Amino acid sequence: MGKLKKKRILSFILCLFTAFFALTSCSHEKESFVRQNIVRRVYDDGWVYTMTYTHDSDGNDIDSVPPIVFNAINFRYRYPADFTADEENPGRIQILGHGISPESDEDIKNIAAFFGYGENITHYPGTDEILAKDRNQLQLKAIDREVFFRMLDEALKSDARKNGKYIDYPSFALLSEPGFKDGYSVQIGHCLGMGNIDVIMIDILYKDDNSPMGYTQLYDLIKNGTATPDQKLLYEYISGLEESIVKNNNFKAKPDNADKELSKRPEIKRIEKFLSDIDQNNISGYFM
Amino acid sequence: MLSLLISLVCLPAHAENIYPTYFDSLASTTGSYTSYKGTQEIQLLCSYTHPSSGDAGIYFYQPSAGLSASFIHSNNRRGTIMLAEKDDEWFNYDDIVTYYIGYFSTGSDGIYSMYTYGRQEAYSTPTTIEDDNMLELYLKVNIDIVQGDTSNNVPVGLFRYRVWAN
Repeated sequence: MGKLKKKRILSFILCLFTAFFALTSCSHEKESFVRQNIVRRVYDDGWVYTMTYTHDSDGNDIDSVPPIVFNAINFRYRYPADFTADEENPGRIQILGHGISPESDEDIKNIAAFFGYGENITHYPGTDEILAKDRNQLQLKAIDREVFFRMLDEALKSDARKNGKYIDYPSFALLSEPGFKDGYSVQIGHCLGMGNIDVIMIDILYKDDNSPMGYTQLYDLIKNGTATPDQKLLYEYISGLEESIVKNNNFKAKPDNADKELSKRPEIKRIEKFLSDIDQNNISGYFM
Repeated sequence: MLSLLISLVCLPAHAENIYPTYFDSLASTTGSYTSYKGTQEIQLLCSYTHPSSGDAGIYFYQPSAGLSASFIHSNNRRGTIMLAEKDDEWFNYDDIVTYYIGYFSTGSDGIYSMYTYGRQEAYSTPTTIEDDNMLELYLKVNIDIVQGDTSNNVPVGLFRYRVWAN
């Protein structure tokens, strides 16, 4: 091999090496992705407490995003027990802090002050700052204080949720069929954690002109022992359906060992149609 | 989607006429305006003819659905909600009555939404928006994109609203 050819080969190899070195050694900033650790407490009366810890993939706070957030929403009962139905009512969902009770309103304000978030805030305290606060300064009247701080500790220690298939969907909603058809309406309340179905509550609202709300819920008939045998079977099927939906993270999941005869019932068909619409994010036709 | 066009003919004997029905905001895409024309249009009588841009507005209410997890819960996000009056004539374009800036934040209830709205006058001096006293009102909505959002699909029900006229 002549000297000139050797030189060219060496030059080429040197160029390759330089290019390889340049490409592999050039530093680029890591992308930050939002991560959320989410802890819930679900109560039979429909209240779901949620503690969310938001951070980036390195575990750091994200600018202009509150790191720790608490809320409580009711996914079973749209109205409080003493509510009087009003035609002009815009449709409701019970969220603690919005007039449910003076004690819980005060609790939510105190929690907000503890975490440092509110409507006009421009800078949120960081996680370290929140954790450094004296917990004895937060006193709660309606919300169980021990549960609250246990949820806070769990949220900080738990793993970030992986994105689920419903990441693009409303993170919570309480929906019902508009009006009553065949004497009842279906209601579905649900909340998602980073696109995963965490809680779903399905109920049948039976038209009842004697009730202040204008309906009686299947769940209440079961609870107070006045449900018919037929309604009890329906309730069991719905409970199995709720479990399967959360377990499979799929609004169109079927209950395990589904009773074939029950699955043909018109109430179940309407529930499935409703769930299919939620699955398609097609909820504009439902009462919110 | 069917057009929602409702008239309110009977005018109560007080200064402000609030349309009784509440509406949920429609689904939209961040970073561009979504017009509610043809989908949510509201007819509302005004107390007098030739109403101006100061004679109608919007009341906002608590949402019933949460913004998806795809959105960065930043308090730098804004929403712009325009109130428009339909004329639909080739020589008379629709008027912008007014617009509001909605400010996103995480409220004391832990929900990320628009909590405060600032009305911005469309014109420095009021402009006549209709020749008679029947207003045909609709919204145009734009929600900001915030860096880090992984979706631009705003769900239905981000806010709830009613319209009013003098």
